Amino acid sequence: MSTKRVNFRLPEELVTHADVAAEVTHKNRTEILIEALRQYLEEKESEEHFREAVVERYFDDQIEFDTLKEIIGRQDAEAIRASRAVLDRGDDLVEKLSDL
Amino acid sequence: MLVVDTSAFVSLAVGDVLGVFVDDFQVVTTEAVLEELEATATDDDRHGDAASRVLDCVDEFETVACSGEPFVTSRIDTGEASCVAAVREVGAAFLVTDDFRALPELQEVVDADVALSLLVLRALVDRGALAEAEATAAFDCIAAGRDWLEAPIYRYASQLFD
Repeated sequence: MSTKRVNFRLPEELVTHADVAAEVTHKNRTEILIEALRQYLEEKESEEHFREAVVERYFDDQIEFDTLKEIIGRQDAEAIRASRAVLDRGDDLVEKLSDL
Repeated sequence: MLVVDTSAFVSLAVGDVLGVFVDDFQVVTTEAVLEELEATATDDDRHGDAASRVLDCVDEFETVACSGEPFVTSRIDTGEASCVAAVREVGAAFLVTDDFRALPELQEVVDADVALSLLVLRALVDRGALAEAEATAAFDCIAAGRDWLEAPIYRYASQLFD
């Protein structure tokens, strides 16, 4: 798994809590933060309004398909992508329907 | 000729354009779809009402008996699978569905273009069967109350009705 160095500020008491948790669980601060972030994202990403907002960002071209897939899952991401492709062909398909 | 599945029928009925649709297009469906509509018609909600209205006009479209068993997957249900088989049997130009979750797999197996009911709305306008305002009103009805995956799709589609 590739990693990326990030710099951000945390409230001091959170840092203290994280350090205590790290000591008690025999992990380091980074591992504690990674675990906490994973859990938070897992909970968040299961919330429907969050997923809907992510899908909106895909339609607005703010995120790529691969990111969409990571967050909402492959099958649902493919459904979104396929729906978008049908709609992007909308004019052609409407013309074919009209000519029937 | 269009093969229409349960989801598309229900959408068009919810949008109150079912009569115009079956008058203007040569519509085919399957016995499996009718069974699904019968089950949906027992629901006490707008989809149940819509399914009942589709069943009320069953004489306005053709129904074929097709087994779609080879095409059933975790996302393609029995009704949709029967429609895939029906497209092959009758040589239809389109399969019309509103099951977005099944769309990728349906596109892989169906021998025709796959269209959504909202594209049918636009075609009905182009064919002079529906006024622009009627199509927009129908679209708004069909788009209402959608879940987290479908609502953004309908918002993206709304540009077709601007």
